Amino acid sequence: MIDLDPALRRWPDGAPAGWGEDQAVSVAEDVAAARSMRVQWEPGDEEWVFVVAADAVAQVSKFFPLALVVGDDLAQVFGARQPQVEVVVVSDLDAEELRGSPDVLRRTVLSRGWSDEFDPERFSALDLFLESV
Amino acid sequence: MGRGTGRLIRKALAFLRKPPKRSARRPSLPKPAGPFAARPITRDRHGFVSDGRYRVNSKKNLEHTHGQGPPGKSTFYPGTDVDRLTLDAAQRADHADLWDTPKGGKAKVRFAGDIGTHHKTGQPTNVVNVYRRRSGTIHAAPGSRLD
Repeated sequence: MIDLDPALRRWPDGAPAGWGEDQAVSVAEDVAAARSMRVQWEPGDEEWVFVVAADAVAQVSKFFPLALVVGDDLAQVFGARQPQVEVVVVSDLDAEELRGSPDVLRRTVLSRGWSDEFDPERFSALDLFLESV
Repeated sequence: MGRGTGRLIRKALAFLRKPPKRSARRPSLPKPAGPFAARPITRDRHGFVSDGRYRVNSKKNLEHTHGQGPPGKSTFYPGTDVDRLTLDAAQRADHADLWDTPKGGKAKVRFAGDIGTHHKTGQPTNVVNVYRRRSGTIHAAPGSRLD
């Protein structure tokens, strides 16, 4: 199980100034270009921007400089090119291997709370996306 | 009046009575791969609106229901049965193979008319974004317009 708390505790006061949709898209585009990948995102309700190879391999938050990334290799690209971004490595975006404390999640990536289907003790990166919209 | 003239008049009248041919229009929805037979929508034994394959997360849908959701969210038009619309969009996504990134969890389904207001642009939109989990639960939100 991967504990998200250490990464999310960087932002005890919620979304930092100076980070938003434009920055998230820019970071995703930079990393995607370095690996001949593409970016998929939609303005509006969705809170994550995806880096896509055959399918999504990373997601960047629109509100926090945070990326959930599949594999160490791509994580190194984020680290080298976008050191301001906190990177959490996962085995797959739909792997239910993440956990977070409810108060920390509510202060950060799930500020509107979550539905009955979401378990703070066991969720995937994709679940964070689905709960955000 | 001769027989030839009468025949001509009858032909002319028949031509005028014919309804005009309608011009071919682009289908308003993505064309399904096969015949589209909507699955009936009911409530399952747990009270979820369901079509037997998907069940609707009504709580999530409330966030996009007019007058129910928090500020900053796209909303469907007042009076929309959002749960039924969600299932309709999911069924059309199945038929037209629209499930896409990330991980087959999202489909953009274009409708013939506008279905709600997109928060980011403030403009009407004709797209239902439908989201599904591996468990088979789905919810929906107005998406970016497709023309």
